[in-house]
Amino acid sequence: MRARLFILIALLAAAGCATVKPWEKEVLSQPQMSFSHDGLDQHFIDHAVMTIEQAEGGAGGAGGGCGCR
Amino acid sequence: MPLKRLIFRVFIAVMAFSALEAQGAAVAVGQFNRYQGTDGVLVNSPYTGVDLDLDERTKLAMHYTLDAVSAASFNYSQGKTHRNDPSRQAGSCKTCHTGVDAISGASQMYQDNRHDVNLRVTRKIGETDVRPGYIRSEENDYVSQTIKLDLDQNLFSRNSTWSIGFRRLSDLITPVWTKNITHSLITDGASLGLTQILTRGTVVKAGVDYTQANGFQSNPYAWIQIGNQTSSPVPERHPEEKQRVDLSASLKQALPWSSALELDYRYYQDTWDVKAHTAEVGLTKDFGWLVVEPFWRYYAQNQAYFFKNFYSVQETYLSRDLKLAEFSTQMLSLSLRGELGNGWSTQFRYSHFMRQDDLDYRRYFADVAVTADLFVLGFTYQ
Repeated sequence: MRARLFILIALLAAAGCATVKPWEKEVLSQPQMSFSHDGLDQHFIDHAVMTIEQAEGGAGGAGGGCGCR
Repeated sequence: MPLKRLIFRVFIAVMAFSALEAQGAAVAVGQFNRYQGTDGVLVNSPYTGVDLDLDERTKLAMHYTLDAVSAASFNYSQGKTHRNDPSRQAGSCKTCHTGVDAISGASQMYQDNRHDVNLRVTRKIGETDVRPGYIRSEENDYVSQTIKLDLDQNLFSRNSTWSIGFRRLSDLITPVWTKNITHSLITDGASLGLTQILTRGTVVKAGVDYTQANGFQSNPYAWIQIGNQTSSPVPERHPEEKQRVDLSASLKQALPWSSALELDYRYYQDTWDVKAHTAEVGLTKDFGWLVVEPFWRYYAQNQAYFFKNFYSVQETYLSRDLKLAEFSTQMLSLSLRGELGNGWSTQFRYSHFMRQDDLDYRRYFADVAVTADLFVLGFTYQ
């Protein structure tokens, strides 16, 4: 757990080390560069998986009635 | 009446959208989702929403989801523990289960609707986005309300975005068989995240999330048989407190020919001794008119400290909840996104979900670990 936290903190500490200029962000703005978890379809997938796995999302609003079990 | 309420909400959303669409300041989404599992659970889930630009700095998002759930799992009279016992045929539930609605217990199919309304405002203040939100999820036996506040801060010429979020969930659970008893659950959570552009073609994300839950966390419909005593099962009992933390990291790397690779990893741990690892790999290819994304996900967890397949004596906590067992899952997905012209775009996604475990399924409704098919078909107008 501590090792994982260290890796995370090291990654966070790297923030700001690299600077990409606005005119160099053409590739980053293309559709294939969106993170898959940001898509609208992902909300449904996350909610379905949440009813089966213990490590559920935690973002709230999902409810937990018997139908989901 | 749920149907009238749904029509009313869709009408309001369409009217609001129409009023603002004339100013070119709105996005509308309509989506149909479906989950079909081998455990008898079928969920049809239409989803609709509008995002409105109220002014140059303020955005309002209103989203509504209906989960129409049907499940065979309430059909106890046809379950493995009941179907060969003449004294446990349809309608005889009250013989063994105090307070049981014999009609529901004997019905062929359980059905429920979940209504989910999600409201979110985004206010831009300089390089900071402030996003208060409210979510209400309602079933016939479960009401969940969430208030949340998220802040996003752009730094270093927008190469870094820090996010911090707080939320409180307040749940009320009123089992259909004991309508005079209401249980409550309060869940507080906080999250911290960073999205960092590393190069012209590399982005990473990292985050940590902490949640603390206090209150009723059992399934009020789950009963546990102790030893060979089949006539007086006892209700499932989970601890009323749980703290959980998860750490996540993601990488998006641009590749030649308008394609990209995504890697995600997530570690989860809670005070019920469950530890879980999730790894995901996705490949995205943009063909200009169509974006194709195959995706693979692997998940593994160990069991909660109080989970058992069979109980020989009463214990402080009792659970046969499959969610708390040791198991792994895999999911394969294929997503297609395309532009249709005149402001319209569409998305289709198919996912196949598989669970693997070594459990003895003799006392469960299903015979083997669940597999499921998930479908998403959506249209967006902007």
